Order: sequence, then structure tokens, then C-alpha cells
Amino acid sequence: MFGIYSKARRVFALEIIALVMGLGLFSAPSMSADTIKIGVLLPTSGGGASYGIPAENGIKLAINEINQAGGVNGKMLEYFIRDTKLKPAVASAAARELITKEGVHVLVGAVSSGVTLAMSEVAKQEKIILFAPISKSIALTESKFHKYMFQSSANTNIEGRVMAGVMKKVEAGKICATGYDYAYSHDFFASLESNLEEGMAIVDTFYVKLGTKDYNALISQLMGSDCDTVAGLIWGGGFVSMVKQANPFGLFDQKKFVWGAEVGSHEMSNSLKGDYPEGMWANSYDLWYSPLSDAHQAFLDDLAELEGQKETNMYPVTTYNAVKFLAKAIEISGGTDSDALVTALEGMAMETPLGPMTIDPETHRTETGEFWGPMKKIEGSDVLRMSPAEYVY
Amino acid sequence: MRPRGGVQWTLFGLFLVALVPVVGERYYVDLTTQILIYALFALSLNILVGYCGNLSFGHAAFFAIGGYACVILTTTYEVTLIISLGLSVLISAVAAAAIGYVCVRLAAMHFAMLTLAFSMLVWSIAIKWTPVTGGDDGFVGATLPDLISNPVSFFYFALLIFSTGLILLRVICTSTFGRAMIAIRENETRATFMGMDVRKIRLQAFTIAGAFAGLAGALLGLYNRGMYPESAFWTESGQVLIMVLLGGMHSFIGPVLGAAALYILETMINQYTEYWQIVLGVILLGVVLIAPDGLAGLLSGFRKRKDDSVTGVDSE
Repeated sequence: MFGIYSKARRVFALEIIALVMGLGLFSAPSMSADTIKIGVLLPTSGGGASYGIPAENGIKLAINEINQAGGVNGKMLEYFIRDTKLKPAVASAAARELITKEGVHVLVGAVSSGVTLAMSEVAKQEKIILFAPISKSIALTESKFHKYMFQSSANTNIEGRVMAGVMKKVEAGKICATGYDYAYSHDFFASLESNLEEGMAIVDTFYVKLGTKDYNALISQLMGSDCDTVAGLIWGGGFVSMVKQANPFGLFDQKKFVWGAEVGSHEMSNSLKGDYPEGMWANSYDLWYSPLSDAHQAFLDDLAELEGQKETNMYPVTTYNAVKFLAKAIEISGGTDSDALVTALEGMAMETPLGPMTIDPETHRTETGEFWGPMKKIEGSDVLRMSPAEYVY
Repeated sequence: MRPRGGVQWTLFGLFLVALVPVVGERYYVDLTTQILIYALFALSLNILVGYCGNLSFGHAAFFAIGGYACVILTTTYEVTLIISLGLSVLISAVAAAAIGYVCVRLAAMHFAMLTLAFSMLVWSIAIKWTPVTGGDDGFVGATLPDLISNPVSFFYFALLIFSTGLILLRVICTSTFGRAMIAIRENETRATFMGMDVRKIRLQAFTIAGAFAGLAGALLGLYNRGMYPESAFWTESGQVLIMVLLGGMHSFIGPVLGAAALYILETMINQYTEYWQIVLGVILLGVVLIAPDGLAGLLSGFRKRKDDSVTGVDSE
């Protein structure tokens, strides 16, 4: 008899646990009533983690600074981060969860343009500001623009125009363009082409599948082309693979190379070390060894302390600026009402570690610059650096 | 496959789900809507995997086709919602019939690989056909009728579609056709000798599964106000397969439990740690080891032990 009761009790106990868990699911979420909540959506796992995790450091740094100075209008900032997994549907669901469960007042993110476009749709429906510091697609603030969308990244229009200036410097002549076959590359090269000066033209375009690891066909195509300069946009791990596969063929000795997509960052040159093609013109959002001002140096020092390394990443500055813009808007508007924040952000000018930035009241974009320059070997180090590095808009 | 009192429990479950907007906050309304969509998707796959015994790695193709068809019809061509939904199901069914016609000629792993290949073909089309699908950025900004633009009204709309799908699938699975699918799963050779047109039944199952996946995809497209190429990617097929296995592929309602469990786990763990993959992996591993027949098998095991203990039968 005892055994029977024991089993019945076990089953009953399990039912109770299930019931309690069910009730827990429906109980009110824990919320800190007196804080300003920022919802952050970044890829923190898989292939996008190398972008998302450093970007989170910028958020942390900005929030630490603001809170140490007493917060905004007496309220502390806190952030809630969710992994987008680089999937638009996942990011949409996470954005909704941050708004409806955590009660965030603004959203910041993401990395991939497709993911940010999906989040933008949620922001539009929920009437909440989405600040995009990294995604470059111009569609965010053009064809899919809505009043709650703000973009502070160097978009394809800016980056293409700046690269056209670099092409003039290197006397590019005939150009072949190569990048991943998706919106970013297409929009970028359209901008580059429209900004090229007379005597320069894109004569060949070679697209490769996003995420490909085998660049042999591309290398043959580039070597076979009679172009003088290669304009590239392959990024991240793909750039590393492409360079390692191209080096044995001497591809980088045959032509001039101008490469966007932030392959001039320390992260990228550190990955390739001695394999990095010397002389390649490249760009980066930030460079730890090239402070523009005392304020920039102070930012780099603080970031170095947070990251535990003096060779800091380039993405933190983008998210740092986004949080600073939002905090200033909250301070000016005196609250977190989205419409009031939009009014405060439109036309807002702010001093950032990289200089002054202003949000265009019409397009909701900022003119974000980037460091551009040729990559060179530095005595005593096997990691190439951009030298001279010029910060251009 | 026909649990005792299953219909009553299912109706009771649907009644409880219908109460979510009444007792729960907005977050739970959204969460339940998403679960309903993925539960319908998982139920559709179970027609193939659980009933017919055909492992598909490309089921997301029909999910994406239905989703894209619906948002394109409602937004680009301004077709009414009901007609768009109907056409989305029809287009998904036609695509499934065409793809299935080739796939059902093969068995086991070859079948699975071919479904995967077709799924990636659909994904490539979604990426490349930019003027129609929005390309890599996806189809963003789908329009919805005012009637279902509110989260609560959309929830009841999704619940209505899910319930309809659930009932239809239940009717199909408990029909003679459902029995024929089980017969094929259990012993294809014997089913052939019994006079069944195995290839035809497998094709019909493939088409039905594709049609209901398309319906789930259409719901997702409407819910997200957009559709994205990732929905056709093989990882999406893998995820829905995990939902089916987790819930129990030899139970009609198992995929619903699997979809709910996986979706809640993914969402909740992501809220507490950036290392959600490790935690989720450990939990899934534990569930699979403890309950090889899925959550439905675990629940029926508990119920059996409870009944045994009440009647004094020692099952140990």
C-alpha cells in the first residue's frame, strides 16, 4: 500500500510542479520600474558572433559611462540583449518579446541588413524607435523608411562614394568589382559606379555566393580580367579564406586592390597577420592605433579596459554612439515616449569619439565616416596596420 | 496514434489556448501565436515522418512557398486575405506535388537528400528573384486587413486556422488513407503485396504535408508582415524535424507538444543566457535520453503509471 501511495504522490508532485511552472509562465514579468530599458538585438552565436559580441561591448561601455554619471534624468539605463541568430524571423520574435515582456523603450541592432529590415517592421508596428548602428542597407532609410527608423552606419551610398574617392587617389583605371551576391554588394557597386570620375569604369563584376569557402574560380576570373584595380566587398571569414587561397597565385602582386566592408580593421589584419596583402587599400570603423582626438583616445582607453586588450575591436564605437544618441534624446524629451524621442533625434548633433555627428531630420541618417588607407607592415609586428589612416566621410 | 480521450483533451487544450488573451499579457499572446504557427508546421511534417515513414530534410521549402505566396498576393497584387490564403495552400500543394513526383521514386536517405536539394533550390529562388521576393533582404512590409492587424485578433485568426488544420489533419490521419500511410511506414513491401499503390499514397501524403506547411508559412508571413529566405533554408527544415522528434512522431498531437516545448525553450533560454545553444543542447539531450518516444510518449507513460498506481498494479 505504501508503495502505491508513494507512486501516486510522485505523480501528484509532478503535476504540481507542472502547474506551478505553468502559472509562472503566465505571471507578470519582472521589471525594474525606474530604469530606462534598451533592447539590443545582435548575433551572439554562430558566424555573426564575431560582430555581435564586440558590438555589445560598445553598448556596455556607453551604459556604464552614463550610469556612473548619474543616469539620464535621474534614471539608470539597463539593456536586454537577444541573439538574432542572423535570422529575420527570430529577430522579429525577439524584438516583440523585448517590447512586450521586458518593456524596453528603444531598440538597437542588428548586424545583417535583412535582419534589421525585419526588426524595422516590428518597430513600425509597435511604434518604437529602432536605431541601426551597423546595418548598411540603404533600404532601411529609403524604400522601407518609417519615422521610428534611424540609421547611423556608413551606408552603401556613403561607402560607395568614399571608395570612388579612393579609386581616384590610386588612379584605378579599369575596375573589376567582386563581392557576395546580395543587396549590400549590389547597392554598393551601384553607388561606386555612379560616383566614379571620368576615365574610370567598372568593366567586370564577379559575384560569389554568400558564405562560400572556395574562391578558386573567382581568383582565376580576377587574374584573367584585364582590369587595373579590384574593388572588393567580400568580408569576414570569407575575406580571410579568399586571401589565403589567392596568395600562392600572386594575385595581389598583379593589380591594385581597394577593399571595403571593413577588412582594414585590426580584427581582420590580426586574423591574417603576414598573409595580409600589403598595399591593399581598406577601411575600418575604428582603429585602436589611430586616435583622432583626446576624446577618441579616452574612448579607446576605456574600451581597452573593458575588453582587456589594447588592440580593441572596431564595432563598439558604432553601438556606443547609438546609445549616446538615444540617451541624449531621452534627456531632451524628458521621457521615453517614442514620438517625443523621434522629434528629439531629428536634427540632433552630437560630439562622438570620432567627431561630430548629426542626424538628418529628413532621412534619419548620419554621415558616418570610416578610416581608409593602405595596409602596411609595421616594424616589430607581424600584424599590418593602415598607414596613413585617413578618416573620411 | 489514437490516444484515449484524445479528442476531448484536444478540444480542452484549444479552449485553454483560447483563454490566453483573457488571462495572459500581450507577450504570451504573441508567444502562443508563434507556437500555433510552428505547431501547424510540425503537424504537417509528421504526416510524412510519423505516418508515412519518409524522412524529409526539405519541408521548409513549402513553408516558405506558402509564406511568400501569401504576402506577395496580399501586398503586391492586393488579393483579399481569404483568397490569398487559399491560393497559398494551392500553390504549396502544387509545388509539393511536382517536387514529390520526383522524390517519392526514391526511398530512405536518397529521398531525404533529394528533398533537401529541392529545398535549397527554393531558397536560391527566394534569394535570386529579387523583384518578386525581395531577394536577400526578404519581402518586407506585407499588408494585413484591419480586422487581424491587432495582436489579439491575429491570435484568434491563427487559432482558427490552426484548429481547422488540426481537425483536417486528424480526419486524414484517422481515415483509411491514414491507415494506409501507417501500413507503408511499417512494411512497404507488405503494403505493396496488399494491393496498395505505395508511390501514389506517398505522393498524396507529400502533397498534403506540403499544403499544410504552406498554410503555416502563410500564417508566419502575415504574422511577421514579411517573409525571408531563411525560412526555406535547410536549418528551418532541421528545426521542424527536431520539433517532431521532441514531441513524438508516433503521436498525432506529439509535434504540437514538440513545437511548443522547443519554441518556449529557445525563447526563454535566449532571455537568460547568451550561451543558449549549450543549455538547449543539454536539455534536448536529456529529453531524448529520458523519453525516446518524445514528450507525448513521456506523458502517456506518466498517465499509464498513474492509472496503474490507482488500480494497484505495480508497473515497476
